[in-house]
Amino acid sequence: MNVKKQFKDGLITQNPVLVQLLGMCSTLAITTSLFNGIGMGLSVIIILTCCNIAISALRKVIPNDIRIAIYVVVIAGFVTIVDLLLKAFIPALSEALGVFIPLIVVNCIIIGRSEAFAAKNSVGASALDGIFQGLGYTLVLVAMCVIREFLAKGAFGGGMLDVANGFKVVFDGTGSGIQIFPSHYGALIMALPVGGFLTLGCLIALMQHLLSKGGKKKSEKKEAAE
Amino acid sequence: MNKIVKLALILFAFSAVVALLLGMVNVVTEGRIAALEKEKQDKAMQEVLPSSGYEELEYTGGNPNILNVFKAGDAGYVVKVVESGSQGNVEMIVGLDSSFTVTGVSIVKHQETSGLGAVAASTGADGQAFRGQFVGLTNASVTKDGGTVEAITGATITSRAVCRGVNDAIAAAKTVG
Amino acid sequence: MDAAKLLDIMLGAILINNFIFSQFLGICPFMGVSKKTDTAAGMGMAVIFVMGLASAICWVINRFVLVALGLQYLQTLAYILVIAALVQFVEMFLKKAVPSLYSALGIYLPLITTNCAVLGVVLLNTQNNYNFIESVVYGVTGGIGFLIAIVLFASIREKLRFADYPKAFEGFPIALVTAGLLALAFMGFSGMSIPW
Repeated sequence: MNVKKQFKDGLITQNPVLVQLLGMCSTLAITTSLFNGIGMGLSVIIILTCCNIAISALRKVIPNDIRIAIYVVVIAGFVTIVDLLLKAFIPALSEALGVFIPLIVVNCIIIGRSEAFAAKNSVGASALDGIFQGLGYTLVLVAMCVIREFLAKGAFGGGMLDVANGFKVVFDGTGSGIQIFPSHYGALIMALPVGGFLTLGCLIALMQHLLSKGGKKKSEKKEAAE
Repeated sequence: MNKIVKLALILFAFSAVVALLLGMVNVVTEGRIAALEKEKQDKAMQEVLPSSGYEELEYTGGNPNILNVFKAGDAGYVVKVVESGSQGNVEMIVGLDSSFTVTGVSIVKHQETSGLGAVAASTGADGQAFRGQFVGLTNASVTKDGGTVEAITGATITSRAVCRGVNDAIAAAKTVG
Repeated sequence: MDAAKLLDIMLGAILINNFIFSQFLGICPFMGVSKKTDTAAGMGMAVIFVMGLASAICWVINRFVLVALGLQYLQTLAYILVIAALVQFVEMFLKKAVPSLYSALGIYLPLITTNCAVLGVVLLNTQNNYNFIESVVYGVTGGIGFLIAIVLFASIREKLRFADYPKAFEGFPIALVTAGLLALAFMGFSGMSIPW
């Protein structure tokens, strides 16, 4: 299995959100501050990797007829574990993400990767797939967060960067972030659902544009070579 | 039929293993989660009405929004109340002195929109200014409804929910006091 | 039973806190099954049905099994199993009893299992401490909100091919922008509340 190709697939060419169009709900809902985005991204990386490993390891035992039901049970198990751990150790994150942590169970990325990749590949490759696909998802979340937070509140790194008490990174959601321009000049609409839809629409459009451009270049090169 | 039974058993076995694992994790986290929640509530209670001890009173007023009523020594009452905001429930703790005047409001749980309704609970200056308006009131309503509380910009619903919570808390404290 | 509270839940679920436009639950089927108005309507109907039924069953299970035994941490697992089983059961039942509806819904039925609006509604029922009637009302009206959203969206999407937009926005992006504009329109409801 080609690690480099998997890496590129996860982050760019097969990016779960921008290309496979999976996991929309959480991408739209929680991307209002960097803290949320990174927290959600890390949770999904952990859960996706664990699920991929477990399902890949068990792929010979799982009967084909009820595989989806079993995937769901395995995923629900890992999600609940992460949910309980977050509640106990990072309560601020658990509060900020609210119902979207248990909802990772029905996040199409996880069940999609279980079905499309882990059920057919070795444990090692599945683990890598989980990490890279999770990274691709996190990348989009972070991009959405940065754009929306900047336009809505003129800030960067809300909840994570604590500028007031010296420049440091905090993990309890209390940091105020860097204020780039005064927040009352911000377009609050970007923090609202509307802003989520618009930002994601523009990001996917950008991705499509870049991919088609890259595709054209490749085919032009091919033609030139011929 | 045999096949269905076999499949059901396999699914059951998977569920049982997962449930068992969860049970083990739960043992580790349960105590911590409960302790964290209690600590948060204690902190909020100290914030709205400092007291050396709080004694829970039985509330029989029948308002389902009232969760707990505490007597804070001679200082007054602390009421935990829940109201529906714009995205879900807003849970708050209201402090009242012995003449049922608000001494402080703290929002402990909410799902309001970040940047709008969530300001009501924020620890920043804007959140503190909003909650500070309630201190000294005996009856709260937003300016749009003819009251004195300036609603958070773009979040009248959340602001109204907090007002309702304060009024419910005052009414509840009066029935036990 | 407080009729005003029920009315408040209904209005909230259908318009003010619409599952799609303000809670972001159920975006996948909303985007996936909204190319044609009639299939969108079929999906919406199926979701109303499953959400109502799931709310009822999950409430009973939570109240009489999970809470009674102190097993609340198994909520997510129990709910998703109930939903998966329910969808399977509805599928079998419709196939035998109402074949016409079954063929109309087609492949959309199994897809409901992974519709996060369904799991979302039962989790929110628990979180908001709704009683049995409130849960069912929230489930059914949440489904109605989903139906309204997806039918409106599908009918706009059908007209999109007449629109002139940059090529990069082809397909999904322009659909997301459209959904954004619809969400903006739904924000108009956010000032509404029931005078007590």
